[in-house]
Parts: sequence; structure tokens; C-alpha cells
Amino acid sequence: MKYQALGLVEVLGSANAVRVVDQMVKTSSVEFQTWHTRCGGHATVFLAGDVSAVTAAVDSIKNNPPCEVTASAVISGPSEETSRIVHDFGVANGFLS
Amino acid sequence: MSQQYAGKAIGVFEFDNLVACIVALDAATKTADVVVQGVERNRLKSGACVKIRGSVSDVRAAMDAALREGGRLGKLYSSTVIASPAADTETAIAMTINK
Repeated sequence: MKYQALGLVEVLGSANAVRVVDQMVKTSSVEFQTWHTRCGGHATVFLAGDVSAVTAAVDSIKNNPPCEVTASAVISGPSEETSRIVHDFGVANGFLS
Repeated sequence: MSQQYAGKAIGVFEFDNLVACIVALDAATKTADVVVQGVERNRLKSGACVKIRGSVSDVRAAMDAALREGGRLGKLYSSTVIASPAADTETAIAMTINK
């Protein structure tokens, strides 16, 4: 399970996470992997796709954020371990098989 | 689960948001041959704690890279490297993973 690139955005609240996912998926051809909304109300969204698509999606959030964004990052060429961790998050949340 | 990690050094670091943690563990795993034992989102507002295992030198090199990369995105709460955790420490480490 190897990703070309991973996009991560952390916002406050699951409702904002839905708005962020919607804006990013409409911006470029990225697939939503999973999110992590467990603790403290902060929701972290994980996206996968090729580097340019993921960068475009995360930049669209940075340029006109739908809400207050705590942190966002793009990881190009994640290592085996990172892909495994993100995949485990996805399986734990029931998004990935 | 903790048998495979027996005797390996452990590096633990905690940032104030999960994005910094994932970027840090990506840098760590690219820098040295370390295994991520667990990423736990504890009750600390929104932070996350990452535990990496490997040989002492690998864990030290990985921790330097992780703290440098993660430091750009989040505030570091705490980080530590234990060369050889005791047996009881081992159970404590494994216990909080699937909480």
C-alpha cells in the first residue's frame, strides 16, 4: 500500500472537517483516505493522490480556508511505515478495508 | 505484541497536533531503520504521541530528524530516548497503545 503523496489538514471540529474534505476533493483529483476526529475536537483529514493534485488541494485550503486551520502539510513519497500508519487509521475508522 | 520490541531502544515524542506527528514520523522512518510502535491521540487537547523502536543509534538519528521536521509544524511537548527500557516499562508502553 504505497501512496505517491499524502495531504494532511487539521481543523477544529468534525463539521469543519467535512467542509474541508468537500473543498479539497472538488479542487483536484485526490481521494479521501480517512480522518481522525477523536480527541479535543480537532479533526485531521488524510488525503492521497499524486503530488501535484495533493499540493493543489492543500494550497486551496491554505489560500481560502473555510474555517480556522490548525495545521496542514503535504508528504511526498511517504515511507512504508507512514503508509501503514495511515492505512491503520483508515481501517480503524472503517473507511478502508 | 511487545515480544518483538524487547530489548530495542525507544524514542517517544509528542507534538501539539497530529499533522506535525505524522510529518515527524515520516521523516524519522526515512532517516533510519526504525519501526513505529504506535501513534496515540491522547487527551492532551489535540496532540499525539508517537513511539518508535529500533537500535539506539537508529532511534537517536530518527529522533533528531523527527524533532527538526515536526518542529516546523507544531509545538513539541516532550521527547525522550530510552536506550533499553525495563520489562515493566515495556508493558506500560504497549498498554496505552490500544486504549
